[in-house]
Amino acid sequence: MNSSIPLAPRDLLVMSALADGPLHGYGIIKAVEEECGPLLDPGNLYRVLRRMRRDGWVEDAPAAEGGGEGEQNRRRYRLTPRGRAVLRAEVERLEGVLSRVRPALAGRRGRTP
Amino acid sequence: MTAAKLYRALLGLLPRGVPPEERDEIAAAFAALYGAAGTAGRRLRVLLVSFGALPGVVVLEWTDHLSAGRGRARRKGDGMYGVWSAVRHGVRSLARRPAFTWSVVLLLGVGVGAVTAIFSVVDHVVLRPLPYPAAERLVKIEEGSHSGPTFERLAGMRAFESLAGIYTDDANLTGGTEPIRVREAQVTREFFPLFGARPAVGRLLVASDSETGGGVVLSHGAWVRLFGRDPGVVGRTVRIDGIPRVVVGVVDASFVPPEGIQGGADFWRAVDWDEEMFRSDAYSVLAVAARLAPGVTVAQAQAEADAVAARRAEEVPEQFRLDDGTPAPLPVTPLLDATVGGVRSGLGVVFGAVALLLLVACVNVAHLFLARGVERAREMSVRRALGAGAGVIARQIAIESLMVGLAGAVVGACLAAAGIGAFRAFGPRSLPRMEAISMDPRVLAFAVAVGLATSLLFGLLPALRLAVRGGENPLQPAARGSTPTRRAHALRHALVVAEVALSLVLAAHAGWLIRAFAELNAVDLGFRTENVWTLPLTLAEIETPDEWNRRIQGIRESLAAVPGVRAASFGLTMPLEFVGGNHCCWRTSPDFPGDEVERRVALHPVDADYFDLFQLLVVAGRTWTRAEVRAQAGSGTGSAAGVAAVVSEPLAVNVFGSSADALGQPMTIAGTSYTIVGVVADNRHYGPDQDHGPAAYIPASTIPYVPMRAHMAVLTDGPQAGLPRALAEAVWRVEPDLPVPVVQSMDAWATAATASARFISGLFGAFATIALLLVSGGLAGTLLYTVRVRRRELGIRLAVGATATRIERSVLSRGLGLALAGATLGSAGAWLSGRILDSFIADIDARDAGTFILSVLVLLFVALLSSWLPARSAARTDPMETLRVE
Repeated sequence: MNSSIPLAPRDLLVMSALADGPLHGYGIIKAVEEECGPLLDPGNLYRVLRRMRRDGWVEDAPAAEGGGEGEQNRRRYRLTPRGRAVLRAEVERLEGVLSRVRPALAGRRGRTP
Repeated sequence: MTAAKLYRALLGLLPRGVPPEERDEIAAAFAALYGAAGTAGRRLRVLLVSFGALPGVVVLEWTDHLSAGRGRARRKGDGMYGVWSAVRHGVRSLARRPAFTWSVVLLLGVGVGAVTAIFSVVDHVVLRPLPYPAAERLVKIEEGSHSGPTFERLAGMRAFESLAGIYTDDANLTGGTEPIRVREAQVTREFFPLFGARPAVGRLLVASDSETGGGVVLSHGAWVRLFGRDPGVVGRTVRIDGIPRVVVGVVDASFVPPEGIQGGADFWRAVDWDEEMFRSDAYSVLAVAARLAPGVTVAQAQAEADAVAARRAEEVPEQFRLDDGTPAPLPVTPLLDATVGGVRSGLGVVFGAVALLLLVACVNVAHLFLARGVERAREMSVRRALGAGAGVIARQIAIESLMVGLAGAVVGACLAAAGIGAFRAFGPRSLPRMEAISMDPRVLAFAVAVGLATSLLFGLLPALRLAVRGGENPLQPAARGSTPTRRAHALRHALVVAEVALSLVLAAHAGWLIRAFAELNAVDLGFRTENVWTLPLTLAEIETPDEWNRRIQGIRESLAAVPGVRAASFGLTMPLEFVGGNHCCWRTSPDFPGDEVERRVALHPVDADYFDLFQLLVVAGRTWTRAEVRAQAGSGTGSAAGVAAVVSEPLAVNVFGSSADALGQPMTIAGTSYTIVGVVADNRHYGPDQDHGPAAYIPASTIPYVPMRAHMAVLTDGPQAGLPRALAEAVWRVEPDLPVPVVQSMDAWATAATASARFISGLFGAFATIALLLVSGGLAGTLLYTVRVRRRELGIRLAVGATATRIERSVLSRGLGLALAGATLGSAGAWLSGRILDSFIADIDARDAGTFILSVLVLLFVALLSSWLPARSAARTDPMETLRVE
């Protein structure tokens, strides 16, 4: 599992979007764009999803009850426990990075000789 | 919602590994995304992002798909450094630099394509064995044709396993709607077995055919063309030259008539040994080919043939003893040499030129790879720092180079296929074995090998440098600008110099060839070509010269009566009918009283109007009239005044000192006395590049035998629709059984006479143009690159007071300096290789200095132009900006 860390930026975005609960493809694109900014293209998104499913990070979620028009038949994805663990490890790593870099960027701390 | 449909359709490009449901999912996500986009700007962004990413996705999915098929057997977990992961990385890396990738692919494509096309031609024409059984043992007995008795003498040689003779001539096939001129060959019994021919229908010739003299075998081409592939043709009777002959079989389509001894034929029949022509040593009619007995070398056969030649000279000294007393030789030459010997050097020159072109293209590819190598030095250092071994990095670069090389080879193969087609369509008709040219897997392998080797070599050079220097710390500021070393500069400069030198060799040769072609076109032929049309004719079944004369005059009068025809005349041969060194047909040594020198003179039996029709310039005296000749011929050849004749100026000057002195002088040719009544200026009867030599014109009516052939010429008022048909019908009005194979304008003959010069000068011109373009690109690229890496230095110089002009001049002079160094090297190369060209183009000074200096100037001009842009860019360097970067 450690070999998959650090996560590629796109992987991190997709998994972050799925952290809140199951989503279908368009939902992921929308969530990523709203929360983080970049606009994912469907082709690459499904490539990433397929790899993650093969690696056991995400799985198909049961179809949503109700839902919007035309969305009942769409396949939805959710994180597996394994995927959640990977994401957690990555977030922890990032937090470490951030806590080191922030003061440096603020100019408050230099490397001690 | 057409965007969604298009997107769904493009998803069809994905490999099968992506199931249809998933494609639907992707398409649905796109449709939702696009549908939710409220503004036009947002829609555009969605479109750009989604469609823009598609090509990359397709390529990556395919590499996944292919590696999945292959990788199943592999251990799990080594994917990170696996070959396919390297390929995927390579695809991404190449796609990020489309300019680099496309440049390399196209450069390699052009180079490889040109070399492959010409290699295919050289291979098919020169290198391949002839398509006959045990072809390496086939030989030709050289120096023209041989007499029937000589054939018998050769047949007794032990060095030969079998021996075949062939005699071909024009013949008239009659009985159809229109009479047709055909080629008929008489062959000895061993001919078909010698060349491994098999029948498609019926049988080939057997021993009894020569006794009965009846059966003929059809060529496959004639069977298709004349008889529509009718298998019932066997047993049918055809009339050839008025003689009925039974068709006994058709040769298989795979049989290629041996070009090296006598071209193809439409009909083959057995040699009729009863014919006088084949029984006397006085007639040299049979071309002879043989197969050496197993284990016998050409030298051994030659020794035995020398003995035969010596014995023959003893038996028939008047025929076979040369003037210096030695026996006339019987040289034994491998049939392949006899077939292609003439074009070997020419194709060699072209192949050399193409190889130079490939070299120039490779040098440019090397430039590109070196520049990219420097650019990537930082990426490579980072990867090394992260722990990638030198081997892994080298493999990555090798794989990228191989991918580019492979793409270049594919482009090259396509260009080669197109080039071969063009060569077949526009190449010189005289090239032997032209029909056989095509692309084959061997040549394709050659192309791929060249492309891969080039890109691998130059792609790996930077990697090797990196491996030798070891990894630098990528984060050190010095590595940021990745300033190339002095050695790297020297390498690039050496490449530019080499490129300039190679291009100069090409440009100089192109210049010389184009000049030679221009001179050829500017040659004053000495006769009229515009509005003159010619018809080659073969009058058969004629017993006496008188009858021939009467009938040929009948045809002439019929042609002259065609509306729009101003005059008609004839000669045994036409000007430009035999070009390229074939001095057909009649050369003889006239006797001039009191002149002991033996002179070979081209003899042209012509009709009276010939001089007027072709506007031959009469420099002294006059030409003859038909009535005058008829009166003189009637009085008998014994009379004191001979028949009127005309000589060319060179002959008159050689023999009599001047044209005026030649008038009234007697001359004897083949027992007939002539009186010279006029002198005409020299002309280029045998083509613009051939010396006519001394020539004499005699009235065609005075030839003491029945000529096989005659060539009609008509002068028209101007271009006229349907003229060829009208002329052919005019012939048939008086000679219904006489074929008119072709009606051709003199201008067309003139164009054909310079066709190969036009082809080769055009080819070299194209090569040189491409080479100059490549040089220009290479030079500009190198200078631009130098300017870019020196930006800081230039900025400082500008900041401390150097003027822009000064900077500009320094870059220009650097470019010109490189070009001059290359030009100096190239001059030596061009001058040396020009020697080969010299021997290749007769009559023309292939290495004239004026053209050469012009080529150098063109090259330097191109160098100046391509240095100008980098110089401007250097002069416009903003000192503040460059200093701020640091």
